[in-house]
Amino acid sequence: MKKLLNAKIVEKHWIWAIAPVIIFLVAVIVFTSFAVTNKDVTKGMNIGIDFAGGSILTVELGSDILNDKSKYDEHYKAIENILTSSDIAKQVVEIAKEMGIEISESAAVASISYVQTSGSGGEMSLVIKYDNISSTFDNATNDLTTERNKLLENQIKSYYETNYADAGVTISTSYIGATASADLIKTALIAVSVSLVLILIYIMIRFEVLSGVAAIMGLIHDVAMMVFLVIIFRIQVNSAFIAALITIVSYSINNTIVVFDRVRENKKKEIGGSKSMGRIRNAIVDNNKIVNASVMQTLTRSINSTITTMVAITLFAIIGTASVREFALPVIFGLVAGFYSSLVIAPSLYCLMKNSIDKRKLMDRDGAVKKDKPKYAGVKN
Amino acid sequence: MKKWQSAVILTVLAILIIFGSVFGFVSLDNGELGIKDYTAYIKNISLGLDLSGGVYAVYEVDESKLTDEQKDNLSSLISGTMASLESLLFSKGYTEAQVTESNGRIRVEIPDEEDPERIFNLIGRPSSFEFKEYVDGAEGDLSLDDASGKVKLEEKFTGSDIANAGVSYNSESGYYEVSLRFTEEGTEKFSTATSALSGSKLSIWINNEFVIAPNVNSAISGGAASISGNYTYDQAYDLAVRIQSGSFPLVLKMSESNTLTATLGSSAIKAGLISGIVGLVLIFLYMIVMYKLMGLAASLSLWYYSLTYLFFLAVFPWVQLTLSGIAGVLLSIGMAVDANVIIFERVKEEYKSGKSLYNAMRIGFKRSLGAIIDGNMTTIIGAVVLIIFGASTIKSFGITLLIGIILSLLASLILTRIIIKCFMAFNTEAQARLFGLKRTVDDFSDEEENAIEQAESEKALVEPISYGNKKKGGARL
Repeated sequence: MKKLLNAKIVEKHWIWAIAPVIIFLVAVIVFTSFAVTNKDVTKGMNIGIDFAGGSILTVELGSDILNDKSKYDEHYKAIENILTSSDIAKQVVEIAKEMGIEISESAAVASISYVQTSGSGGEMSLVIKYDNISSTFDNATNDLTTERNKLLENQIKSYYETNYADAGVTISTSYIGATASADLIKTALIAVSVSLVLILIYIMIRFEVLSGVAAIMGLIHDVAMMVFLVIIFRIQVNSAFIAALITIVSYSINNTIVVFDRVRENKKKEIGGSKSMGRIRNAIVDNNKIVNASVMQTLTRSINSTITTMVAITLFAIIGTASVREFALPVIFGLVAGFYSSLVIAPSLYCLMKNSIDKRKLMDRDGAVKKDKPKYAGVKN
Repeated sequence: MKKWQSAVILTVLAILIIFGSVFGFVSLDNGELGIKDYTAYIKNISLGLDLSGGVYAVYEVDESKLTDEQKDNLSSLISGTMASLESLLFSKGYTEAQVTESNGRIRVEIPDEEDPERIFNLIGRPSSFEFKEYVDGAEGDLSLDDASGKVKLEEKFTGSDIANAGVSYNSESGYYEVSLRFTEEGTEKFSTATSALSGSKLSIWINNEFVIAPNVNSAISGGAASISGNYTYDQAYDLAVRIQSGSFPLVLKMSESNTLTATLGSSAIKAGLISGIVGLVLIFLYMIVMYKLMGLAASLSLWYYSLTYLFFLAVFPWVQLTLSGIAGVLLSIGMAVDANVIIFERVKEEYKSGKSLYNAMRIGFKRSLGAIIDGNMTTIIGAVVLIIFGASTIKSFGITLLIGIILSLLASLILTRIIIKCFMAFNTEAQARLFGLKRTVDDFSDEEENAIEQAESEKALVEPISYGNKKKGGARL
């Protein structure tokens, strides 16, 4: 116990940087390799249909078919053939001409970007996502894509009516333009940055300027780790991911606050006497010692809280469907990253900054009154 | 607190929890227990489109067709269009439909609907609506306009002159009709027009496209008219929708539409419910193992919190539970217990440093308040920002979050404390072990501090040092 309370945490800031840096590097490697093999920067991440715009075709086939590899292949091949058929592309080019648009046949072909199965039992569906005719938004190509989708849907419907008339297969398509998603990203970015600024101001008032900066940097670390891990595990980036980011931004700061609250209290204790925040802010103390002790004192609580928070969301990810997992996994990544950053990243950053400022203050003071010696040896590093 | 007081409080709480659980999860059908239809309030939580299934479409204003005048008061025109859309959807039976606006785009959500494509396609189409005099052979002839001189109508009749268009059944003919109701201005215009055209035909144009040419039998001045053309219900319905959507002040273009199956939602809800309940039970066990009676108190208040949370989600009309909302609720269960973990850890620490059970409890609650308030304030800031800046789904996630934080603060700071106080009334000092408290005095605890602490514990002015021995601390580093 004695050893634990005197553990050196903030002194080892280089060690703590290793894990985030490795995750960052792996993410870069995964991103570039996917971007290079697909010859498209946007393919580096698995960008969901909400953002890229696109169309979704859902064919309800039931688990009997979809869980059987050969039957699955047969159905998928048939649908793929229709989606990429040049007949339909030719028709689309014709329609485009009537509308006064020039497009090539290859641009009119639906290119499949994502295939998955979703649901369970008799309602299990094959979900196929494919590109819109143009990812930029204008009314003409918008209409054209809708026309093409109608053709495709009718073709697939008639395929199932002729070949599997009794199966009662349900088919539906939906369409998402690219602007709607640009809008979502914009509002999300505004929301996240405004809350970051407000949280920073709040912490600066209630704690110290540097605690605020360190806490926000910890938060940025959490968000960055979520993005990197999502890149590494090829999880779809869609509006659910944005919601997950926002969730973590609002929840994850909690752990850091608890640590800094303990720092504030221990510092108050160390200087004794007056308890005004101004004095606590300006006091020069052995930052490393106080911060290390504060982290260790709040360690049990941090572990317990992380466990209780993780329990339900982890169960949700395990028993939930694919779309549930797409949301829950990034949240879990964020919680783990938040646990890590509140224990080592934010405290280390705080000490790094605080120590260098204190050092300058002491040097100034030493310059003025040469007899005074720096009060704490630990500040020198 | 006296024993009988504690007993009363605990009994009341127990009754509330039992009633809450029953009302929350149990639905009663006809006759059972002599109660007619009661639906568990958890079922009254309104679900977002991603959970309930349904369709949505996003429309943009077609800016190329805006006049300068329209550009100047676009926002009022948008709200006008939204109102017309709402009444259109409502009159067509989509009473659950929601029309919202963000950044100049109008979003229409229709829950529990698999294929309202008809209505969406029709909304996307309108641009203009006009009555003209009918000239034989002019169907579809776009050259027939005001300039050609063939139109006798003195005043141009447009879609904004129509208040409502609906379907009615004519029992005499056995066919359906489209009934029109005009605005005040429209009534006047229509009356002048029909008196001029009496005996001849009137033509209706939507999107500069000829639709129908009904006979004008006599001047119509009553503010209502019906178009009868031996329609089936579907034909009359489509025509009514087209006429009414032609009365929108703005021309809309569909930019996004999506059909969401209810299967996805129901499995997500099921998963959410199971993981919520199993998660709660695991947290109860964990808390009771870690903190004994204190953990039991926290578990009781956590259960109470969950029931109240679900109740508020069901009661507040502006809450819509979405997939991310479910995850938010699940996270909040863990977060609600977090405040108690902070307090209990603190109480343990205080007790370890030599305080009495009562004082350790009191000071533990008091000293953890700062961390709890500050931690939750930042989350509240986040939630409020989401409510202010977010569009529909993100906004309702923010509201879900905010309700959760406030309730969890009340539960962990007030309710847990009351329950613990009640428990303490039945326990003597010697039974601190029941609360998971131990007084193992480690060599780092400062006995001198403790002496002062105890002397002044009533005032609670002196802060305990517990991170290391002050005198030796420097040497250890």
